[in-house]
Amino acid sequence: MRIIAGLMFVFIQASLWDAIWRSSGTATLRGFDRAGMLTYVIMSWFTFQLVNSGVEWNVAGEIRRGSIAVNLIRPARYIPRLLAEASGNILVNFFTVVIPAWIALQCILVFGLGVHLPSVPRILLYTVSLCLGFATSFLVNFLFSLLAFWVTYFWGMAVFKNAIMRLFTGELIPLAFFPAGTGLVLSFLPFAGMISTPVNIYLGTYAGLTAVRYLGVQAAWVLVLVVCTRMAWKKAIVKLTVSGG
Amino acid sequence: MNKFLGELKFYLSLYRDFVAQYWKTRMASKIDFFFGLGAFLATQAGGVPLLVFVFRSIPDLNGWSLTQVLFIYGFAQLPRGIDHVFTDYFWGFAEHTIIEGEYDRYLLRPVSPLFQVVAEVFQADGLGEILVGIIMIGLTFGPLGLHLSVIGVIVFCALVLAGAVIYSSIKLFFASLAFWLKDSFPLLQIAYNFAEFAKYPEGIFFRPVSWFLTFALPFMFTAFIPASWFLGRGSWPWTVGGTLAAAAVTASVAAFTWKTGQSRYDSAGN
Repeated sequence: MRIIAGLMFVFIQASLWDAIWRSSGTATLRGFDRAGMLTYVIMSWFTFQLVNSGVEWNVAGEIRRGSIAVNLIRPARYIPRLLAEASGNILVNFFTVVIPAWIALQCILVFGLGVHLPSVPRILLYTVSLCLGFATSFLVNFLFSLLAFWVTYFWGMAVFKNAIMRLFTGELIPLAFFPAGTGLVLSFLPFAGMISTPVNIYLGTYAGLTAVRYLGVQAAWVLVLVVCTRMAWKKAIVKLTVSGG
Repeated sequence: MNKFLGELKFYLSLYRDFVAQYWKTRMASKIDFFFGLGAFLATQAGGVPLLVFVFRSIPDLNGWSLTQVLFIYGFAQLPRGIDHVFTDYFWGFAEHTIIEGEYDRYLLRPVSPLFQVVAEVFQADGLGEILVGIIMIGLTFGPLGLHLSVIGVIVFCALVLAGAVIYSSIKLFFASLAFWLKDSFPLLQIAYNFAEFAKYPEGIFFRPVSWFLTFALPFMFTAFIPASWFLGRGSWPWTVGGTLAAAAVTASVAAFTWKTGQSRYDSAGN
């Protein structure tokens, strides 16, 4: 069921972009040809599924119910436990939904449109970038979830955050479509590392040195976020003790 | 007739009381109120830069100009927002009312259970979507050179309401499946997500997709089809008549499903 729903979505999204490409009347649109555009749609869905663990809902739910207190005194450290939970969720989703749907889509690309699979080194680079993207997403969403210590209507905030993220990560629209300056700035923000950077590496839009540079940007953000998370976590824990009385 | 009016009056005053109670809890935090409203405003307004940026690279989209597409997009927000305000608890119903045995509580009171489900929540978040819709229609109205006569205004309101009925009916249909499935939330979510595509011109989708969105899950009647009438495209039997018919059909199907489900309800037991 979820496979079919996933497929339908990519399919409709792809037909939207296909219409846009046809309306342009040119061979390439902002550096994407037709196959490139459709690959972008498919790979951005694929990447999103592997990067987004929904960790913020777990943490916010625990904070709201108060079960976070119990989990804190358990003999497993809190953040590593979350990380394990998040990767587990993603792996299950990967094998049960993402891979079957992706293979079907890839067949359409390869046999229907004559798209070649990327070279092995490029796939390896993509994998590295994907892992960094997962780390970024995990940290950003974890940091975000700590807001639940202060805000009661977390759900509304999460919807708000997702709206912004869909634009900034390049999930909704490739960053190349933004006005030149904005697009460039966005491509160096941590959000781009979640979807835009890995997908562009996969497509070969970021190749050679450019790809390495963007991987560096991703890695740098992961480090910055780790430091931020540590500081914020310490603050939030204190807040928890206070509200617990 | 008098009996009917009396009942209507009774339900309306009851609804007012329910909503008043709900608002007391909701206004406990005013920040939350604005966050919820802002969240849906941002989600829907987020699609606007997408359209504007895309149109910088193309002259038109399958014969539709940017202003026209923005009008359709704005129109789409109104039924969506109205439905969101009034029937938001269908989500909760699909998710936990049956499985946690809460439905028993509704059966104990001498008013319609469906009414009680609807009256649970008056969701102000939906106002964010309505706001986006009003702003976008307001901005595109002049440049498109649209004039509305008195009849036009009546038709406009009727179509927006019909669109809201279609939204609510589709939601109610999938929520009612909880009577059989116990938890129909995932199905409801998948169905609701398809509404995202109704705010773009129909012609851009592959044939099977637009048929699916017109005849199976008729979200096309909540946005593109009625909106295109105001843009001078499409005959009125199809756009106006079709939308009203779609509202009638979806409402009947939803009501039938709800009734059937209700009659086979079996308490969670103890």
